[in-house]
Amino acid sequence: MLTIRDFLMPDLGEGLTEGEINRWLVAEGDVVVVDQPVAEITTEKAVVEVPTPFAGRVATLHGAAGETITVGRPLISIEVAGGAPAEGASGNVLVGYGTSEAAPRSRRSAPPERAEPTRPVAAPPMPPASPLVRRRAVELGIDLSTITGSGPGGMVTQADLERATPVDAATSAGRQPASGETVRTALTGVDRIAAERLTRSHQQVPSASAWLSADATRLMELRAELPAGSTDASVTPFAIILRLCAVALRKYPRLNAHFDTQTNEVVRFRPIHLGVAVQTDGGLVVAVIRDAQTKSLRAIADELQQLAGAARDGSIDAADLRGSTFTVSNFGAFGVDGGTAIINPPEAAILGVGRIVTRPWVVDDDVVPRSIVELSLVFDHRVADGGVAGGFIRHLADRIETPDEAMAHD
Amino acid sequence: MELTMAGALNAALRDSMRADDSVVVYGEDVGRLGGVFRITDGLQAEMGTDRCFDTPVAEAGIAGTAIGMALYGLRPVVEMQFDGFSYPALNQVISHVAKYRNRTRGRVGLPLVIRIPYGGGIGAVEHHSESPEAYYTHTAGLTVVSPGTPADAYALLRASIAFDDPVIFLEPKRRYWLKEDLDLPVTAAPIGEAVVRREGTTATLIAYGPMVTTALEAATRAADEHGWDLEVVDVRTLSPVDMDTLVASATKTGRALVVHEAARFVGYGAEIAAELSERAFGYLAAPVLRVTGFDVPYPSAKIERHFLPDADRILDAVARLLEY
Amino acid sequence: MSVEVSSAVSGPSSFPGLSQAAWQDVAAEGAMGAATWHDVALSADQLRSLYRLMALSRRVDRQAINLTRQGALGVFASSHGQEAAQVGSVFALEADDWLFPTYRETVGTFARGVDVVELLALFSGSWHSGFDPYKYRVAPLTTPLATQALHAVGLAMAAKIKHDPIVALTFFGDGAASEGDAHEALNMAGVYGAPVVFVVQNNGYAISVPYRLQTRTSSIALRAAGVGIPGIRVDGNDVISVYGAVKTAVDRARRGDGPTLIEAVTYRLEAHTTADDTSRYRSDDEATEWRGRDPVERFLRVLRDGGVADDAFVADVEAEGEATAARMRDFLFDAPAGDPREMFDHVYAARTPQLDIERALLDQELRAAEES
Repeated sequence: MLTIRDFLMPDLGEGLTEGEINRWLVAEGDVVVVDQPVAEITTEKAVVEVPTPFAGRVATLHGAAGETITVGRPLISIEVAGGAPAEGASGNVLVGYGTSEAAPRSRRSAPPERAEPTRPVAAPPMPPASPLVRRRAVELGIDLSTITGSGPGGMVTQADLERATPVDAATSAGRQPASGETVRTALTGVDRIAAERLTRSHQQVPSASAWLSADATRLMELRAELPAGSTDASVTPFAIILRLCAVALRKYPRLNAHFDTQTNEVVRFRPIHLGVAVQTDGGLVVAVIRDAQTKSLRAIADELQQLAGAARDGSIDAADLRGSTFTVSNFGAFGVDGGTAIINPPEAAILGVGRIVTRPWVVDDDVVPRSIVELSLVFDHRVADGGVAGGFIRHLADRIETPDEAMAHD
Repeated sequence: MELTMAGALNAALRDSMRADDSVVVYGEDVGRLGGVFRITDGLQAEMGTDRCFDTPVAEAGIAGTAIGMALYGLRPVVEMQFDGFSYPALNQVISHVAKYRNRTRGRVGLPLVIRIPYGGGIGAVEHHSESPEAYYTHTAGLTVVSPGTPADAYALLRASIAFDDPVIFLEPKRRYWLKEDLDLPVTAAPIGEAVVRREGTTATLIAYGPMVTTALEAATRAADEHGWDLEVVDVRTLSPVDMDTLVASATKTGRALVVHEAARFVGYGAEIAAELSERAFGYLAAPVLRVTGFDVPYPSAKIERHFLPDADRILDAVARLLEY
Repeated sequence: MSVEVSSAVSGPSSFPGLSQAAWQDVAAEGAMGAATWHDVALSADQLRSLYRLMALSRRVDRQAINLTRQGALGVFASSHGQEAAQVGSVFALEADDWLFPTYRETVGTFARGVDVVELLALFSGSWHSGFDPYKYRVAPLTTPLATQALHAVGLAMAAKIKHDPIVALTFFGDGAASEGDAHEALNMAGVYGAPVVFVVQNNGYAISVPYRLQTRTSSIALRAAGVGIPGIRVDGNDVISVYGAVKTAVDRARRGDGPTLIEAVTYRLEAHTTADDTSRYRSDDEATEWRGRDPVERFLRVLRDGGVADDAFVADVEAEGEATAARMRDFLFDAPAGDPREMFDHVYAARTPQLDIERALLDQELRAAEES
């Protein structure tokens, strides 16, 4: 679209009312660019070059050289592409540029992909429930549409959830036991928190396991030879294995880590804070030996005894129950060899140490009785693969089987 | 030493002026009289009329000259005598105080403080019980602070005077006579941080300024009368607000309400409620409620108590939170 | 408290083409007494310097209008015709004095030394203010009328408290003089004896509203009496009169004798801004008549007559004007918009968490736009 814009004779200064065209610098039909001088105008004192404010094709020169043009009358008309404000745009306003013509291109190139809904839209409408209640219903496996809400406006409340029966094996057996046939025990305190964490860990962490048996005979021999320490705490085999675990984790730091689902990162912890599962009357707690990588065998043994004692008599500090980066569970204390423990969130792995029991073992082609211990590692498969997990547990087993060097430093 | 909030503010002004020669205090009746609430008592006598002086009745002038003073390198601490009389200065505050740093691309910061006694509950005539915090918090570039305790009154006023950005310092006038045992100079959490005044698990009460006392009173009664364990969070810096602390509390308890004297519609509580529902959505057992004044001009002295939120109204709201 | 409202004009100026009687109409209205102001002492170099600043700033003003017509500036408020009032005033300031201008004072601010490209940022839309106030001792060009007068008073008060012998000068117009802030500024300046000079450019119009509808008082200078400070009305198109009045006022203030109000009677030859249409509210004849009192032309005639300026000098100044205009065109035509993310950087001394979130949002939008 082309418009004719008139460039009016400007007041070139000092109260000029007219100017004489000394000569034209362009001709009709010429293409001009903005600020290109188009005419020489003579004023009282000087010859002034006048630049065009418009770009385009010169349409009309409003006078010949030698003629006088009054200030404010058209001097030159330019055919301008696009022209003055397009329809709908305001052009300059009193205080600025005004509205603009072209609509900006949308930055949204394609409609965003809609995520597949995780649950099909229910045929019966869902009852109203707060975000918290909805989440808990999912966690507990309760179908909200089967519940009548007792909250305001028929909302399903947390109390309603607690009264509801989860959809699982209990009902799939065909008949729920009548209330007189059941005994309910509410989980409180430590157990309740533990239940929540275990559920979360089990649901969220894709875990795998690796296990092997190690010959702890040499370890037991060296243990018997240890000099007496400053305390009367004995150095248990478990304490030794804890120490060796810290050593092994130095070589396989990927297992001393955590998977950050928000950022998709493996977050390695620098220190090794060993969590030790301790059975107490109040349930299972994890006491933490901080900076195990810096501690001697004797220090670890002492601390283990002290923490376990404090945990059992309820005097343990809250600080000593937090912050573990890798947990070790003493299956041997239950008389058990191995098992698949549940990873202690937010850690990436948990090691089970079985009982040390005499078993037949092959040494130099002979079958002999040896003290054997089974190691079970459960790990977050996002953080480590079989190579790392196997490598760690093999390395630990090696240290257990030939502990001389590791124990000599203590 | 037991100090009222008024005494704590007075001490903060005095200590700031002693510590920094560039601090000047002025406004209507703040010099010779010592302020209509005695907040500036004794300052002119000690510091002289160059450091503490009276002005004509000219609120725009008070704010506008403070801008010029701050531009020149002083730290003016000026007073709007009452909330309802801060409005003539709004043009200077919104058009200039808030925008000077931005306009000059960071080359000019205005380290000034505008002190405004605000809020109701003092049986006053019209225009003396306003809660104008929404106008100020909605204006980008302003830092809006409101202490709820005498200790915070001291610490936050000192911090505001030392702050490199302009501060609107809202003083809850009905709490001027609140007493606290204080060892001056007391420090507290800095500007920009909210503080949990009472830890709890049942629900979160979010309050600032005059309502901090009311919220704590409600929490005490809640424990005694209902066995509810309420957490009380004192916002302290209304803008820029410490949203993390508020979100953490709402996430922890799952139930939250905001309490303020100002009217409900487009009040400060609306912003907090919106932000909490966005950030703590998955952890809320109930919607975020607001306990506020009504959407009416502040009423006369004889009926103001029906307008103002009190512990009863807060507890009613907590009961509603617990229905979910 | 003595009140001086003087209509005297002094100095070596004359008004060729304008009878003394006609001038008295402007000058004598509302005069409550006459006092003579001392003769202005300016050397030949200073006089030439004064002319140079007026001529250059006029060229800048003209180029800014052109640039607006070319879309390089969004809008421009011309002070064409007000060169004497503005340049004469700032010429009286010392290096450490402060200036508080409005959007109308491109000429005065340029003459004070602010770089022309930095100065025009407000009008180009690149940023609300483009220069460092501390570098030039000039406050940002202020838009809300009369508000900067209070800033000037505050700064003057601060200087007085600190015993710094500096002066603050602020401009406002006949329209702004009606604002409450103008009154508060004059009054407070009087109460504190603040070293501030108020120069009111009465250019006849506040956008379209003529002076007679703005106020009933015959002279804005009379308001000074209302607040107990001296007021004087001068011919705003006579740069020497303006300079003389402002210099006297500045010296008074620096001495500790307090503020002064100076009303400089002039005329806004152009429209309120480039997008205003004067034909809707005034006649061309009026503007033409005032062009006959053109301040730059008059002053040049006086300088030529006095042998202080010759053709070579005038040509030099013109050449400098063209060079400045070319620089303006180079920088301002098609100047890029700048990074919109900067809007988050200067709200507070340090960005807040909420601002970081919002900045990230805009950043995302910008990147999406780049990729699409």
